[in-house]
Amino acid sequence: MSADTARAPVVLGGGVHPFGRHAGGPWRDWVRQAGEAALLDAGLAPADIDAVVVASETDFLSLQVNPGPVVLAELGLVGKPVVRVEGGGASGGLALREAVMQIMAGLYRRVLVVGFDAAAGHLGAADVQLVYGLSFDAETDGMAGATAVALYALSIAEYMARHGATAEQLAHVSVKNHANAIGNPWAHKPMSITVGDVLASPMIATPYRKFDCSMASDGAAAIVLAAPGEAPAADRPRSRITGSGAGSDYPRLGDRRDRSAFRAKARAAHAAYAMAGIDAPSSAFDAAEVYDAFTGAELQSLEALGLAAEGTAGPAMAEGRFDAAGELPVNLSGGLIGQGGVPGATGIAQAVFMDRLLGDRAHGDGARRAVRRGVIDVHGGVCTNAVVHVMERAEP
Amino acid sequence: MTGAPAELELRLRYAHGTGALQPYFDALRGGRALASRCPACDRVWFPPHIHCPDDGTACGWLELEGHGRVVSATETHARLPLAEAAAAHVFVLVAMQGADNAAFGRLKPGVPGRNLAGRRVGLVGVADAVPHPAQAALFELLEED
Repeated sequence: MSADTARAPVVLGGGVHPFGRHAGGPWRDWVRQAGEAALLDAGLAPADIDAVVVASETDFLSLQVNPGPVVLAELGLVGKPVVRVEGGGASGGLALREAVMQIMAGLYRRVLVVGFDAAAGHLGAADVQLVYGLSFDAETDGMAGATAVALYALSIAEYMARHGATAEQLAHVSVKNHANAIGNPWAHKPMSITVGDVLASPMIATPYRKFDCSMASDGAAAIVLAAPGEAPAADRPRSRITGSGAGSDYPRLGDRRDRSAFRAKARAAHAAYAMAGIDAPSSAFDAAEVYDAFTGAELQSLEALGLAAEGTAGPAMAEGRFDAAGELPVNLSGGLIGQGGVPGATGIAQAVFMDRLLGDRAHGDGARRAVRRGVIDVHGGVCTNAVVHVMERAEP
Repeated sequence: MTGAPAELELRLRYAHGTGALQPYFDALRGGRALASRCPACDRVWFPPHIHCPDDGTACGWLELEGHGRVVSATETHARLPLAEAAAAHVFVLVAMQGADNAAFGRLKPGVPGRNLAGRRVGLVGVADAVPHPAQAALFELLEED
């Protein structure tokens, strides 16, 4: 164990307000429920928390500027230090990283991380699409018409041309993640569908069809981290965050030398693996929660994370390597495609889900896996900024 | 207890300048490709960067010939920002001749979105007002040399 992992924060508990379409909100109700669930799971009271990190992608969705103090008030934490973190789809993961750094720096003993967004039922879909289009370089690309699905489609089209990946291989991701979400009480879209269903779903932006796309969801997630010496005794396995890394790439997709590869994620993974002492990621993990904003993005992410060699994720996906019963199960929660996409909460919900896997407390297919080490990953933009965490089981 | 959601409609009006990129947008409207070149690494950017994103060096302007090749394309139905209605669009990444990156834009309406990678395209220019100058990044298919 390296010096870094000796100081690796312990996950005391977590909670998720189910992802879905909660028309009318309000997000503060979801935050309260997720935060209270996390504290209950951790066996702590609000007074035990030293600091809070809040994640939310955009005030255009919440209609709340400076949401941090509001979250504190909802959870009985007024007076605690709070910082709000934003990084597009990576917001929740970056908030988790902020808490990891606060604890490892010795600033605080116990930190609550809360993420939320009202991305589905608060603002009309066309307006949400417009807001998300500003997630890229708004001046040259977003205002020219770039939407998330259009840019992801341009990226995966190049990937498919380069590596020979097929629409059927992409469809396998959708089938897998929708099925994995069945039994997940937090999931927005659990479904049993076939590759044929995916290929017959309406075209959104070539080559992406409706079932290739994740949904914008409403929801919240919260997690409590502690310094190793500040974790109350427990009679169940816990998890620790042994690696944390972040990276970035050009905000304009067209500026990248290779527009089909997620280099920001590769950089983030390299840093996280170095911190965790991992030098062979392809065989290091028992489970992975990967940012599947679109089916192809899961393939691109798996390669950037070193879980599949360049150009091989598509065939491996179709062969079942990443299925729930496969060699390396990916997105047992359902991922964004099955569980839903809440930019401020997704990275935190991934950590809560991985903590459940590592602690033998998972639901659905995850309950049947013995997981000792996992990797979680989110990004913003078309992988413009990325954050990767390694989590490991800690015996009581 | 929950009640029926209130219908809120916000109308936001921004006085939005494009600053140092204004020469690029002015050229784009006229169908010209104004790029920037980094004197330190020699990389040519279109759309331009005022400072090189790789090394932070101040770039100089460089006019390109205004044509290039499609890198990738996607056909979709979308509402352009600030537009009234959704419409069919073919969005493209175009590597302009003389540039080291690629530009996001769209093809003139009516071009099928299939088998476009590698095709030669040129900037069209826009005579009418566009809601945002970036929407002048409009290309048409050209005959091969």
